[in-house]
Amino acid sequence: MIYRKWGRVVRWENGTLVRVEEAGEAWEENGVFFARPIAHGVIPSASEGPPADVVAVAEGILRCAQDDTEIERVIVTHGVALHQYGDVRWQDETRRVHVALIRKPWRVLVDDFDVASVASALARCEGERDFAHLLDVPCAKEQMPGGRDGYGRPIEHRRVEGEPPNFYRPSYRVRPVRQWMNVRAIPSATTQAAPKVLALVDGGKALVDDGGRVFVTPLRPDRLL
Amino acid sequence: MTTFAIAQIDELWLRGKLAERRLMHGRAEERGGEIFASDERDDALVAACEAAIERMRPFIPHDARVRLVSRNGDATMTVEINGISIVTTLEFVAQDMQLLRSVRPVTRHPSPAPLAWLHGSAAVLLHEAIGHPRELNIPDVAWPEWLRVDCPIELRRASFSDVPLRRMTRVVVSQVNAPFALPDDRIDVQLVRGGAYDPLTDVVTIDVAVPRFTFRATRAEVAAALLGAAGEPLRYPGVVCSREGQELVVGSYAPVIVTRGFA
Repeated sequence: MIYRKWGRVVRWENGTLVRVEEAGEAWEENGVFFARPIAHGVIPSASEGPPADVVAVAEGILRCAQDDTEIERVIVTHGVALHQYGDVRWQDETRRVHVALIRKPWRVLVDDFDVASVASALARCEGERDFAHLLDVPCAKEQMPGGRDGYGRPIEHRRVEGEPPNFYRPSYRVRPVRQWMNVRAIPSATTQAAPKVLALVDGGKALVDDGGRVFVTPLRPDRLL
Repeated sequence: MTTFAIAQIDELWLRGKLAERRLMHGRAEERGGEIFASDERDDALVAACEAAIERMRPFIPHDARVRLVSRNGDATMTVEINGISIVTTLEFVAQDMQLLRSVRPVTRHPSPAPLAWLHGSAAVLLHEAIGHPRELNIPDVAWPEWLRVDCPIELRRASFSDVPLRRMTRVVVSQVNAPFALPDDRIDVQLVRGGAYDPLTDVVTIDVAVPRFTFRATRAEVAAALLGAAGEPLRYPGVVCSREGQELVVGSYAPVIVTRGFA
């Protein structure tokens, strides 16, 4: 069975606007994975309009720099793709941001559109304080339904345990791998008041809000979703 | 208008059997400050890649994990055995395989013993400590007067959909009248697994593959640790440098260099 993908992406990357159109196919034969480009033909049109929204988001993020908080990296993408695996066809549209904020000695990573609130918190950060014991709460996880996986199968609601039923295919050039998707923690216990994690900090740490005061704390990476 | 065209074939071979094969091609044009990229095919570039891959295949070792990459006709082979890898070309595959098969993966705990950087491996240390800061226009620290580092920087990109970045094209380390004494009590660095430079902390991280250990030091500490060097630059078998997710081969050469330990 052949997987085909037609895609178009507008990406703002550290000041450069890139528009990419590509299409390709992949298949597995006797255990060997093959991938190659194909003719475009049916590239979906959802993002044919001007990339004004991508630029506007990027410019909004750049305005988050303040005092000693710098913006090291900004990547904003808006993409649309049409997928086909056998007789199944599906389309998806993605909007993503990836931002690295710097306030020495910390690099804060933000993969959420609300960069302004994280930047504001980082600017108020009072230093490092160890809240790891409060954040180290075992929790069950669940896969939320929505969309299709790399083989066109619906992503269904499942508790995260054992082998993932779905496959992740980040690109037609990459062999799909089993992976849980749309994962979230299942609220299952009441614990003492813990600070709210705002963003990840490079080096296995997190930026947290503890009752209005902001700190950087170590994190146990195996507790991350 | 700047135009960039690329074709690339990569193949993954596991113990002599093909596991994955990819063809990629495309073209990017820069117009009005924007990059317009599509996977347009240049038949001549694709044919050059096919020919280069064909030439490499007979040299695939059957007891290794091998990745062949041909980019616009230039081909490299990454060979991994027992978790240790080299990146080589057709011209050097025989001697590089000999080196790879001669080393043993042993783990060393961080030690204050001096390090002797063999086989051109000091090029990796200085790739991180001098090359990356230059890419980022970060002012140099004070390096020993005997040290010379030629690392031209050009706008390079890994693929048609990437933004070109200031990247090293090669790192050639040499020495002029450097002091040199090879300590008896030393650790010989034979192959390096990888490295990194963080502009935020000015810290260089080096993962040594043989023997296995990792150290971190600021650029000033690296500069102060350089004790001496001897001989002509030796070709190091393989630096695939990754920045912003873009992997590029950087030719790397260095003489034998002795540094303090970084325990």
